[in-house]
Amino acid sequence: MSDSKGAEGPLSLKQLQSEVRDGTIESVVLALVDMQGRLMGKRVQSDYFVERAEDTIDVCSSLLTLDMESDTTPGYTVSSIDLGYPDFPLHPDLATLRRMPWHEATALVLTDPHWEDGTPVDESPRQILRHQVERAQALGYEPMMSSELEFFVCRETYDQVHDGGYLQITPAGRYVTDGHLLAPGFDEAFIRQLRVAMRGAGIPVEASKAEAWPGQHEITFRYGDPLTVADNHVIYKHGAKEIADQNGRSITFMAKPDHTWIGSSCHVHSSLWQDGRNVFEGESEVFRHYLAGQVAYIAELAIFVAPSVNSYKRFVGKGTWAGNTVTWAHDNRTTGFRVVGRGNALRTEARVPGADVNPHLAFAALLAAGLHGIENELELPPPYEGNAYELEDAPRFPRTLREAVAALEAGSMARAAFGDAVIDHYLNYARAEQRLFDGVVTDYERQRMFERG
Amino acid sequence: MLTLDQLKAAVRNGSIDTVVVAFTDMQGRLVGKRVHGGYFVEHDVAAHGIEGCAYLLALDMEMEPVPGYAFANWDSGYGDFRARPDPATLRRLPWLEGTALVLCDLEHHDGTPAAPSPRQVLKNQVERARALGFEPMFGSELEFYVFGESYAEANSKRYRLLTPSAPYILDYHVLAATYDEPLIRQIRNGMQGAGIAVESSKGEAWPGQHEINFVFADALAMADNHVVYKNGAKEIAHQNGRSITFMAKPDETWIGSSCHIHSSLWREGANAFAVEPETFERYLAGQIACLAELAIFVAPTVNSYKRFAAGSWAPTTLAWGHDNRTCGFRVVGDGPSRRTETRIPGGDANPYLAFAALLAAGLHGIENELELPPPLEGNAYESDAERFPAALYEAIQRLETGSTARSAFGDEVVEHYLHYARTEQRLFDEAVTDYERRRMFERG
Repeated sequence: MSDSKGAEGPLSLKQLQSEVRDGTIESVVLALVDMQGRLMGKRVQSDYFVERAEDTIDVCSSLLTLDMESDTTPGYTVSSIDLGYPDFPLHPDLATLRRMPWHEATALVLTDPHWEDGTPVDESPRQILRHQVERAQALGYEPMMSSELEFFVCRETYDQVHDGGYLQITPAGRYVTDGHLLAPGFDEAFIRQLRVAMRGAGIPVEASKAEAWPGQHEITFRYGDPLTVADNHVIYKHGAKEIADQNGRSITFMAKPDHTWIGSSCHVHSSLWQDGRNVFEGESEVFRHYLAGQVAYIAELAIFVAPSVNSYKRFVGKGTWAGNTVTWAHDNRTTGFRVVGRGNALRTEARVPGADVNPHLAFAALLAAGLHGIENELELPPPYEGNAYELEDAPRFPRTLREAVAALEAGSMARAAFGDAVIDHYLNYARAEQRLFDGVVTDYERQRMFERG
Repeated sequence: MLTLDQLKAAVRNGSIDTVVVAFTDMQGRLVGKRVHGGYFVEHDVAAHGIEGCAYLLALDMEMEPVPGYAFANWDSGYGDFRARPDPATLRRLPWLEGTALVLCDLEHHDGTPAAPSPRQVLKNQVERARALGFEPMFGSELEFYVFGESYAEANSKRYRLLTPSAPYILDYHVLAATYDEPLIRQIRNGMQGAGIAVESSKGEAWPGQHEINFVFADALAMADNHVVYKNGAKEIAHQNGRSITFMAKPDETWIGSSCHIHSSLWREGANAFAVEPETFERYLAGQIACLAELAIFVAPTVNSYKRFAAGSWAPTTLAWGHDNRTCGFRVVGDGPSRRTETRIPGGDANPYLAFAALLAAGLHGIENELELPPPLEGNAYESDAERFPAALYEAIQRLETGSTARSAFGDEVVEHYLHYARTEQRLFDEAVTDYERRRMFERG
């Protein structure tokens, strides 16, 4: 097909070569997934890429040590000023090659950072997830996962929000339209672009719907193997912002853009398969141990499913739709884990993660917890019946990033699952997030103290 | 200052028609009522006092009644307490026409003092010092920022992009401070007229920052002066269409505003520190040993802790030194003016609680004959001296695990203020801030 419009699905290297020859594709985005789940990398001229597609390209290793402001943070062993912030080579993962239909003549490929000796960088989020998938495979299981990202559409452009100091943000809708078909119509011109574009980028779209706050939407995609779904997740999130920008709108995947609004979640579904069959079917032993592991260890792994100071503000209060207790139940939206689906579709849904997660890390954490449950034959506590928000003595998910850091410091399961290097890396990340937040003066303080303090 | 007889005469001749009957809340704000001068005199309000809702010692900054205080709550029906004027605090407020002010102590219906009242907390420590034969003398040095905007304008701009009164640092500058002199002079003269002995004013270490100093006094009088001044300075700024803030750290890229606190113990009208080196050393040793546990009393807000940054003129450690501005404690003055200066408190401190904490710590040092560690020489920011808590949540933990505060203030007071600090931390943890949106809205 010479016209990339309407083209669907992943691109093979051969297709890419032919499209480069006929001028349909001009640039290839080479990206790695950073700690925050952002795409970082370079735009490579397509001729240059095609000539050396299976070769590597060097980028600065500081990319796995940056904070959200792209400031380098001290305390990491993978890269530091003492090492001179050297390069590491990125290996393209050609299975991820695809068009980016919302950019003219552009394709994208995800990459994995390696060391000069060819070994992968263990602290890379994709590598962390790959290790857990391999661990599941060693036990004879193919994990299947999906993520459901919510977001807000706002009337301002990103520039306008910035110029206003992020103080004035207007949701696109005027009222809550959860499940409405009329009101989402007002945003449909934009949301349709997202659905169509993602399909064109090889991401299998299921549906979009309006969510539980003005301007809030959700687009869902088909489940699949964890690495593919996590890759799709980061490409979708990245692309949705670019398409919003093209439309003079802004969208945000912040977990809690405003404490008076509902938060944006990233519910994560998972199941384990063997020979094309879901082994959870009938609430099997494997299912029970897996869920028991997730319930038992999500608090220790909190920084991987709730990585920012802001993540924890989703859990404030009752009746927020955000799971804030470490409980489970059948089809109950007040618990931290909800068991959904029947027969071959039976799966666990973690309602704790927010839209600010790095999916590679969140999937790896949930998988590691579940596999630990299987390996140690953990017993599943009884399900909770009723409104878990009113459960006074339920084990709570950490209430703040500080508590999450303390939980990870005190635990040993995460170190066993991910290795010390990975845990020390992400502990340094979480501690730095907390330290930076503790050091800035916020609008909340000025509002409270400027005149009256 | 005004005597009651002078007030009566002034009400009779019409020069005073309003008496502000006020007390100090947990945040250091003045709250109370404006009583008509005639009523005040005829009904002897000076003796009987006024009633006020006890929730005034259980509120947050937004005036939200906070659950969880034993002192006042929905279950007890948020009843009244009595605010009984202390006639020694009666004074004119020259910047408000025909107005005088008197400060009160708070008591329950049965006449017993309300223990969590900040003025009461300080009075108890002053009594403790007196039982040891000392009269504690204090001085507090409040810094503040002056802005071109009025409070209403600052609020409608959501406190963003405000205009400092001078565009450059005016530390000790006479010229730049002159630009703000119409306002600062009104404040100096207003305070002098309110019976607060003014020393001087000067420009400070950031654009728009100033400091006005007052003559030191006994602990209670100094804390009274501090709250009357702080309230009055804001009122005078408002009258001038300007705003000033005493926030400890209005912006992380600016210098913070401090409230350095000087103290010494006197015996028979003379500074005991001048002639009793052991008293001085044990007092300072006690302040150093206990201030981390008492942190929430000198640094009461989430914002307070943002001042404590290396090279900021605000200390990060509990080290002490001779005339060393990098330490938490600086020893200044020779002979009869010898005193400790604590550089830790910020402009947001409640002076009654901060003075009480420093006094309790110092007296603990004397009672237990604590030994003073050697002074720090050089740059304390780079030293390995013990750190003051770096965040309110650390300060809470220190108070929870300590025992000095409970033995000095009593369980009721410590529980009350622990609940206050925990509430401040919880409310902050629950609020979404501009920082998070700046960081996460587009990129997160």
